Amino acid sequence: MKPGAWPEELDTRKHLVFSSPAALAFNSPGAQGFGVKKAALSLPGSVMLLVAPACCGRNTASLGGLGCERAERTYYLLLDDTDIVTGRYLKRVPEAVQAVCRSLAEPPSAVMICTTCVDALLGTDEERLCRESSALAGVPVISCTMYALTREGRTPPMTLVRRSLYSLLKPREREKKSMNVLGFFTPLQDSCELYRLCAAAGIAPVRELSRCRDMEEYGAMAGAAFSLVLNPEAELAASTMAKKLGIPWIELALTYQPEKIRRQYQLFGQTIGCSMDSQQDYDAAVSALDSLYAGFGAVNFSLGEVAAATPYDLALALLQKGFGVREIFSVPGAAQTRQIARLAEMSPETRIYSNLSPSMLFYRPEGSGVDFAVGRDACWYHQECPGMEWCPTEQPFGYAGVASFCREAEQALSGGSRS
Amino acid sequence: MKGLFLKLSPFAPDQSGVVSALYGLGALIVICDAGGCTGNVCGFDEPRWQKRPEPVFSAGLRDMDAILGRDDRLVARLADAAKQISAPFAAVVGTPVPAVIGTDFRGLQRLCEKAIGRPVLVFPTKGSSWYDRGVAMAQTTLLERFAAPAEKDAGEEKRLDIFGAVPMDLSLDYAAALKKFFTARGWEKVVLHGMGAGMEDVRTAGSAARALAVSPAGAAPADWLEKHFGTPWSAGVPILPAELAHQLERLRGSRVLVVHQQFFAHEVCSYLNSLGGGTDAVPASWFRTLPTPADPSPLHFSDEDDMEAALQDGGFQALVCDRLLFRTAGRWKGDCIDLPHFAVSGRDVRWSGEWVCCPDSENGEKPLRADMPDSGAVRFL
Repeated sequence: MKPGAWPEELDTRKHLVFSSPAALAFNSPGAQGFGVKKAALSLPGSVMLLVAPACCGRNTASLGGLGCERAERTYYLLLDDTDIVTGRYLKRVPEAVQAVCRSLAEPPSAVMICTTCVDALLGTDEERLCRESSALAGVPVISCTMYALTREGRTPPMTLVRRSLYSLLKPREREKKSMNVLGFFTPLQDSCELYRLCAAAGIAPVRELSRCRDMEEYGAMAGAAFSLVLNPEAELAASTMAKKLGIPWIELALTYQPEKIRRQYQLFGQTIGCSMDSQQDYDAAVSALDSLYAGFGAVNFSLGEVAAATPYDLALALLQKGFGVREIFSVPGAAQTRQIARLAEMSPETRIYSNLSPSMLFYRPEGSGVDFAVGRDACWYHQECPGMEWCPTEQPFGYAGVASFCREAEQALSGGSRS
Repeated sequence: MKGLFLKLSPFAPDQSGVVSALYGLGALIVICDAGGCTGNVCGFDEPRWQKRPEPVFSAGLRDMDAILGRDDRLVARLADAAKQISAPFAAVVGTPVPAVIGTDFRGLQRLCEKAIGRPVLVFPTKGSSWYDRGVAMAQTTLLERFAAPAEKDAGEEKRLDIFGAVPMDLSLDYAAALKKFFTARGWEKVVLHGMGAGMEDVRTAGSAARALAVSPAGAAPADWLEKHFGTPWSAGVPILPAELAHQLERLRGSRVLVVHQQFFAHEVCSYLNSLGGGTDAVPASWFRTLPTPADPSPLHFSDEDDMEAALQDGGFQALVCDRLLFRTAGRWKGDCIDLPHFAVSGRDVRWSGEWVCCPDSENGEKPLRADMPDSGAVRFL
């Protein structure tokens, strides 16, 4: 079935968007992970000035975990009714940036000006705003746009913020063997085989924005031989870096299917002219899935989209091992067409729900036959059954991701509880 | 600089106040946004939402909807949802997006009512005012639209309607204690609008014997009730958590600044002043303030520097407010007591369950009466 032929419930343009706790990641990404505000502060030593009506900054104080420290680096220029209508506040922004810098003991490495739907509609020239602010405050100023209105467009906010984050990189001498990892705002798991495989192939150093302790380390990313993109939302950033800095890029997908991971590493190796022997890691991942199946049998899963996995891909990985997938909570995109077709062959009884459809007000878990829920949203729907949110602080990837997924699922299933 | 917050994060906005005041009425609520405002309202400002989600929706606006003013799409989506959900009425809540594009809310109301055949309330909030404006707007509009003229029969002589109570001011246990307090003092029916009241309670509000505004946001609907049904109203919060009262005792003899919503701050001050020993407590608020006999010119803050200036210039030795606001005290030094205020910091608090009466509240009657501005100020649209 092609995207255009999907039921209307799966097309967010056709209905109101239901606000349930399961849909919080859509309506308030920052509250459930990395929204624009939290992501934009990934630059070491940077601060943010949110230029918006009060309502847009309301949830900043709630940004949990890493976010608490980031909330302390956020400042606000609040707009009143007249500001919103006339745009007169734009003249105050450079002064506000200067006031923020002066209020700090040490100047920030950069100021991110975060603008919202108001500026999207007023057509604010952000580049000029940043230029004027930078000239007055004497620090680099870059813009990040939190335009929820454009989230389903070609360049949604989470794509643009990734581009903004790398926009301060300046051309420098190339390190022939170094690699940037782009895509996530937290580092990959230390146990991820990617680091080891790259080291064995002579690729070093491997740099990630989230591991940069200062602007010196950040700046060194400009000298990478190539970038490895692990999330499609970083493609624009990678292609911009390719144009500006001449850094080519390669993309790998986040997948939980061991065979697919192996093929990806083979292709990756071929592309960079090295052999990547990942047999040992492959065996460990397959063994972890076997152990989960041996311990608990054909568990029936409910998979959500608020997790460190694409639910359609995870569903295929689980089905291939003999598990059941009763339901998936996720609005599919065009990229999932093939996965859905495969899913329809392997498990035609799997139901796909959109967290955002008003009909979810009436969803009841009784009779779903679900034994185990994965993802914050699926856990919310299945509050009485064991499950795991699977939103670890460190980003799972590759075989190590499969192994840790199985390990955590085993623990949760053994205890019959939530992890 | 006006509007620059270097130490604080923004307080609950007006659209959160509207939704909070409507929560529990079973209304089909549509927030006119792209999604982010709805996430903030539900995920942050409405503590009841996690356990008991209500039909609150985002209009799911996209850039072209806003640029081309495609209200017809919103009306169609609302009509579709209304087919699935049997709500007594629908509400359309504004955000910065309709404010920028100049949405005609009255026109939208007419289109929506025609499409769904049920009452539709519209709230042109902009996200740039604080929650109390939204609470006042919602509770007054509900009365205007639904409160039916009623005879005050014998059965309703002991009915007390409380306005301005939402979880952003009063925690859920506080509201329950308030109800218990009045019930114990002979009120047979205590209706907490915004925290447990149903549509039938709104329709029959005109039969209440008395009304109480527990915050300045409640003064507007209470005033409306008096003007239309002759229901007398007073203002105040008659009980305080015992552990707060216990903490306040250490401030005996001090000059104290108390910052909260005005009526609650006033009660805390009354309690402090009743301790004697030269205690001198002054209420202040970041939110709407109304003149009262006890305080004709209430202290009001608009910017971060205001609070430091008040503390320094007023010779205060102690400060009672949400601990987030301690940051604005600047160079001022003194004793600080944390008084959580959800609308300020988003911190929900559960008190121990023991309560003390505020001065003059023992019989459930409060002498405090706020002066509402001319009734024209009550109208928001």
